[in-house]
Amino acid sequence: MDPTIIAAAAMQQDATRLQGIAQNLSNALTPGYKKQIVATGAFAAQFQAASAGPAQAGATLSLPAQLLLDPSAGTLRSTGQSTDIAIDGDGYFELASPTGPLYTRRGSLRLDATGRLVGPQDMPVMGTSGEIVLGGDPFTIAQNGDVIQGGATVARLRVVRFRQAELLEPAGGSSYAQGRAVVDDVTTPARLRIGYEENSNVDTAREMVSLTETMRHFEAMQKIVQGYDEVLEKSIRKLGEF
Amino acid sequence: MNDALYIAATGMQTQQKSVDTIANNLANVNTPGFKRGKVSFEDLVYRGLRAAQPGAAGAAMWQGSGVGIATMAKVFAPGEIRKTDQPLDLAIDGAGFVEVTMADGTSAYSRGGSLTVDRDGLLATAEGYVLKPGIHVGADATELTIQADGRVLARAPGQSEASEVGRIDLVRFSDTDGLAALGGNLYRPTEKSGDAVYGKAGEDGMGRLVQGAAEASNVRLIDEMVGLMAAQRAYESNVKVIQAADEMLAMSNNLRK
Repeated sequence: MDPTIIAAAAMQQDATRLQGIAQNLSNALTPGYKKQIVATGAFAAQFQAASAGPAQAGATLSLPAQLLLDPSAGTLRSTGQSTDIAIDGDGYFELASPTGPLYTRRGSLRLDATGRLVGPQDMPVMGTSGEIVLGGDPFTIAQNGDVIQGGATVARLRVVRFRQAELLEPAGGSSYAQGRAVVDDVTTPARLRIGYEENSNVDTAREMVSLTETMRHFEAMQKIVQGYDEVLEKSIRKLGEF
Repeated sequence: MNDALYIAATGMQTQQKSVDTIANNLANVNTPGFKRGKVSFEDLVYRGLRAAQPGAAGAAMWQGSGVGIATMAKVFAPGEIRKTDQPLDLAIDGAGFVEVTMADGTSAYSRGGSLTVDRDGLLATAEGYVLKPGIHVGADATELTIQADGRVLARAPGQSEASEVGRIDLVRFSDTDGLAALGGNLYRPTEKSGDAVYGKAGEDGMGRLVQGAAEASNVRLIDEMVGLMAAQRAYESNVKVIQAADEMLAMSNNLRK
């Protein structure tokens, strides 16, 4: 296979990787953000798969990249506001969006104008028995997710845990769609931290290292294209001398 | 590759907004009754490039579009209540607001502050907005007392002792953070905050009135400075991404020497 095709595919992949880094760095301060990882398959397997078929003129090689989430928890930051709820450990809050349930680790809750408890993007937060309607009266949230109003427990926040949470798909607003992740457990009460917000789990130093790495890799690929181009140029010139 | 440029640009824009808000907070660190602003970020919508398919290799592919501002709201955490010993300074120890009438006849809501008695003898804010419902104190009344439950007592000339002239009622909102700030310690309800709920001072979590005291700004200097540093460094890392994306474009252009 033509080395330029291989180099071009690798450069394309570097561009995808740079987008991922840009996305992570721009969200380094977004609460509840989970960083995305560009995962690529081994080159040999891709190359063999591409070479196995009949040789075609103008064949291209695309190295499929896969985007995964890093579901690891971010650090918790105290906000001092009793409606900022962070999940200590595993799990996601469930939000009712018009297109189906979404999951988030961002627990800045508030009451909307109709007295419903809502989370990010004003989507209702689900309790163990549906939406939580509280009216306008003051309420508190206990560490096990109980919503307490006027001394009585009126609802409990639903916390969903996933097997393979890295397969969740981002939907914007720090919320995620289920994707291919499998729900593991919805019954165990959560351990919540009241008055805390979860920071983004982006590690800026690591992102800057991958940025440098990606740039150098891109540069190396560029040199391969240029070098091969030179080889071609020389051969054409030499052959022309005969 | 161009997308990395635009994604990083959204990062710079939002960090800029964050610094703007911090600047406003710091400028008002000593403004009585000031409530600090807070910008909260969210990751913007994702563009699905490939839907998930069953099987190990069928992972979904998506692409982010950077960061945006989820909300820019005031944080109504209480400020410290400081004694001023001015009889017309009024602070609210709790979540309530005092309703005032604006120049155009609409209502706005205030967290108290220095009151005055205007030309017509009505209680008004320092800017001259009359409290609603109006409380007629009389221009030359003395011994003005505002009790914790909102009752206003004053002694008119010729009276032997102070008598009740009215009562300051408080209001609250289902979502205080949804109020729109008008400046001058005044707020207006929005669709998000819901309509005002009326009540008496000291009841239903409204809070009680404190005469001769003022609520300090709720800006916390250290938090703001830390926020400023974080915003600055985040801005910087986005600049680096833009430079890298630019370099990448230059390199592709130089493939052909």
